Amino acid sequence: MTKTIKENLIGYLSIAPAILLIGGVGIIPILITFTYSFQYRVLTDPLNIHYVGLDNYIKLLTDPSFWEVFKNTAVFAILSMTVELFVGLTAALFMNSAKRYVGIIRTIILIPWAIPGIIIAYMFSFMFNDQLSVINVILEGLGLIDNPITFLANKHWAMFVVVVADTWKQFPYIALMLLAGLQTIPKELYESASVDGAGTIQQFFKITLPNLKGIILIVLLFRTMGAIRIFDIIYGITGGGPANSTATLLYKAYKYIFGDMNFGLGSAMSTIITLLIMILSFVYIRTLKTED
Amino acid sequence: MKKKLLGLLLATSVVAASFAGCGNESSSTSASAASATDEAANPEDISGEITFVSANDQTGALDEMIESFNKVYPNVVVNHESLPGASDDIKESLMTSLAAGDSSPDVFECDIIWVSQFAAAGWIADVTEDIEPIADQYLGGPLSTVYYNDRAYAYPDYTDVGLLYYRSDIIDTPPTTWDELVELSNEYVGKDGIEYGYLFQMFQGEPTSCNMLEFIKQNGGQDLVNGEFKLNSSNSVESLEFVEELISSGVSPEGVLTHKPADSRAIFEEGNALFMRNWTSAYALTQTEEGSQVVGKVGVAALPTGPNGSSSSGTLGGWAFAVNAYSEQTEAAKAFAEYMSSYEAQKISALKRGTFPVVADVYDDEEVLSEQPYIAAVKDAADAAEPRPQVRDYSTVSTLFAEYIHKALTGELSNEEALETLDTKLNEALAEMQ
Repeated sequence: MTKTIKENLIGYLSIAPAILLIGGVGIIPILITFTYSFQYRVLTDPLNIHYVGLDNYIKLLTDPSFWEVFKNTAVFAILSMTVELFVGLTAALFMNSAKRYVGIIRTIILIPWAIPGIIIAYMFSFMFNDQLSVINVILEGLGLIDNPITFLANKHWAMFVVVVADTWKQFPYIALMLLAGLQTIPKELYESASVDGAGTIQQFFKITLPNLKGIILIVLLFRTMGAIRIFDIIYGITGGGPANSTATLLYKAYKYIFGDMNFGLGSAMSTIITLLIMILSFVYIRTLKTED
Repeated sequence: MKKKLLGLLLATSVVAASFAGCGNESSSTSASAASATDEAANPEDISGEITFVSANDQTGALDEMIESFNKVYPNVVVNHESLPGASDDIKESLMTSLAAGDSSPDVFECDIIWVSQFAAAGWIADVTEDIEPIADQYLGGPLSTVYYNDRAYAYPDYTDVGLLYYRSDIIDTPPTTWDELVELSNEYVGKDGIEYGYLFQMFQGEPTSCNMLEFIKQNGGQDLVNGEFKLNSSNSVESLEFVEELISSGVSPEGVLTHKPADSRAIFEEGNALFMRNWTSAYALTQTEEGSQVVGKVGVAALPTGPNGSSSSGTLGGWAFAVNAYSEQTEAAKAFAEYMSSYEAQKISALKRGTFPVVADVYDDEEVLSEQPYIAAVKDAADAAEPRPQVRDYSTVSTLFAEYIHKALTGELSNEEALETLDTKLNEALAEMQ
């Protein structure tokens, strides 16, 4: 009896630090944000903090600029995930077929993922700067354009640049996940397929893709969360401009909190983002379960 | 091994304890000093260690000002840290400490547009009683910017105003109207390495607010009139059309929509532009920055006016020295902020940083006038400078303003539509601040 109590106690004590940590940095802040979202809480009006029910949410959802950043976030998420998945899959297939220098190739491909987002943002903002753009120099050198393109002053180009920057940062992660998936596919499947006369393309669509489906869904789940939470790339490259065309949900939440010091509205925005991510995760996880 | 580790831990805790002891001691002595010698405060009696955070200063002026301060106050240790980036970036770094009630930094350089916001939040110390006895020394404009609800919350640092920079080696007389500006630009673009006529800053954010308010007011447009925004007028529409024309005709690069002041300065210093709108603080940099191709070739003048404008209007900017309300070294911090805003410090700042002094007498100082003659030349522009709307949550106003001006400039909304929506939104926001 005493022995089991002692054993249990040791067990609880061992996991206590982890629970405290998760509670302290994860759950408590979320609860605080959730509480703030129902308050009028503007730091410049510190004596007037009070509960306002759903006012912040109503204000956000009836504001056309909310739907504008919502649309921007959706466009960014769909574009970046499509491109990243394509590039990541290509890189994974390449790495899987590599016979030599496997270690070096994998290390090199991982480099972008190891660089902090804000650094990547500034790198790309220099590369696509209107005066110093190395991209323009290359394009002009190749004879593709006559005049430099002002990438970041045009809303379509600006979105293009942030998607490219995000792709560069994220494709290694996707590539590695998919590579792991590729290596679990039994070689015999390919062997018997080629005996039956299936070409490379047929093998890819009939064997590789179906076997990767589960991993692709997991990758998409993580990337959806990442894309909806996109911030550093936007902050460093465009600052939401031009004309708000690259402002996303989280960037707007940041503007409410750090620009306007409006913690109520900013928290409501953050809560909406959290809910959105939860709903999408739920859908993905359900899809995954039915797959199994 | 274990013993060593224990010893190390003990040693650090002893050091930490002795530091804590020091801190307590010095704060108690300074408190008693304050009560004993309130009027005849002897600078040598004030002691302490304070942290001072400033914007990035490449000229070294601030360190020289601190040195000068230490000659008078030998017992105050000043740790100077500087933050990189534009005003918005610095604000975010500061806010993190201030919102948490951190006692550091004790003193910081504070953009005048934050004063009302930080004061309303209770983050910066009320210095009304300290500043009133010396208020006479300041210029009226900069002094007014440190007040919020009739109380003073900072000491003026330097005043800044939007100016027209021109290449004095190419043209003799700067333009005074928009038409002249365009004419001269068209004449010289393509010659002498000049690629652009006019540079200004329309990055979506504070640059757009400052620049566009100037364009609007140069043409007789208005912003806040008797507690109501009246941006939607034919004069403002004309201002927007003028900016669009500057870009579409190639007088200004399309990239101005992404430029901050430092971007314009970089192009101007390359010698690629005839005119540039920039802050007064850019002048010293164009003359001292390594690689600048325009040393000795730059003139400054008041910004030109539009067809319906009567007088030049540059946005009033500038910085102040604010004292953290949670500082544990209030006395030393206030003494420092006050000194940095005094004649002696202001003179160093004017000579080394090329800033516009906030102390009136510095404008008559012979050394300053002989070293920085342009200071006298553009004093009129400084006098005519207009503050940005002075409301509690200025940043809300600025965010909306920049957003809708950008929508107009990128053609997403017509100019009339953008200004009309902007007016409605701004007045709604204003009502919420009451």
